[in-house]
Amino acid sequence: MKFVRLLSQIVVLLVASAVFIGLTSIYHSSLYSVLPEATIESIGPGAFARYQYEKRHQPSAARIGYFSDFAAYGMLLTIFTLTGRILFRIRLNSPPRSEGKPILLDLRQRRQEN
Amino acid sequence: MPALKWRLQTTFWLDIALLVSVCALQTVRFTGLVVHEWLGLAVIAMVLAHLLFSWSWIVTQSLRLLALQTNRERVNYFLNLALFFSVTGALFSGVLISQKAIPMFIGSKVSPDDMDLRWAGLHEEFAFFVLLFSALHLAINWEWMLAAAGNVFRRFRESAL
Repeated sequence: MKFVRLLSQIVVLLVASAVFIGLTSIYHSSLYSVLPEATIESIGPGAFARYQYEKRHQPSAARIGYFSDFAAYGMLLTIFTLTGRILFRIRLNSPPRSEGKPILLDLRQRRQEN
Repeated sequence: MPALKWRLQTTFWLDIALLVSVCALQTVRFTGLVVHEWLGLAVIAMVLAHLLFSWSWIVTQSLRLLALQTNRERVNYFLNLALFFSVTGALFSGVLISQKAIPMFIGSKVSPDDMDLRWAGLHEEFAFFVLLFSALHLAINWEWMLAAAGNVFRRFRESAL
């Protein structure tokens, strides 16, 4: 029973993925070029050919010298997370319960205490 | 180890592994194409496990989608949907432009010159959105992550003593 439930959950996820893949394929088929025409014209045919070559021939082996790239993406993730924290705190926090209600100053009670 | 503790620890370390993988997958120059592609395939399994662990949340929030919800729940739901869409797009386009891992699976040789660069471009765009939405996903679930980290590391300290 547990296995059937797990299998059905995976099927639901696969169906959802298939829908998204279908949408992505439709978008892909609507793309005419790798880069917009204006960009290709501005960088020139030589630079465009180099761009295509670099995209197609990525290095197979890991290069530790580029660890800074990994660190930079880690920093970017941290910046996005901190921005998200600030944004969600400002926007998504429910208003305090006291909002719109009169503030009780407890003046009478204080007078009695005095 | 009780099931709840096991589940918490597994989910926590799985999420950490996913975050590190998302950063590592952004830079092919650092990992190299072979590690990049195999790590990408491993991410499919990690994402699947992450979603299965969160299944009750997915079902509850999907059923409540049309009902009255707080802003936070609504934003969280659509953020997760966007992240799922980006991950699916990045993984699918990655499979289509694969030069090492997938050709090995299907036993064919692929020439880099045959690669569809439109898919490569989409792959990069989806990858950026995966990074962005992962960060926002972490931001909105920050309290859970902190609580889980506290719980996991407290257990570490207790077992070390």
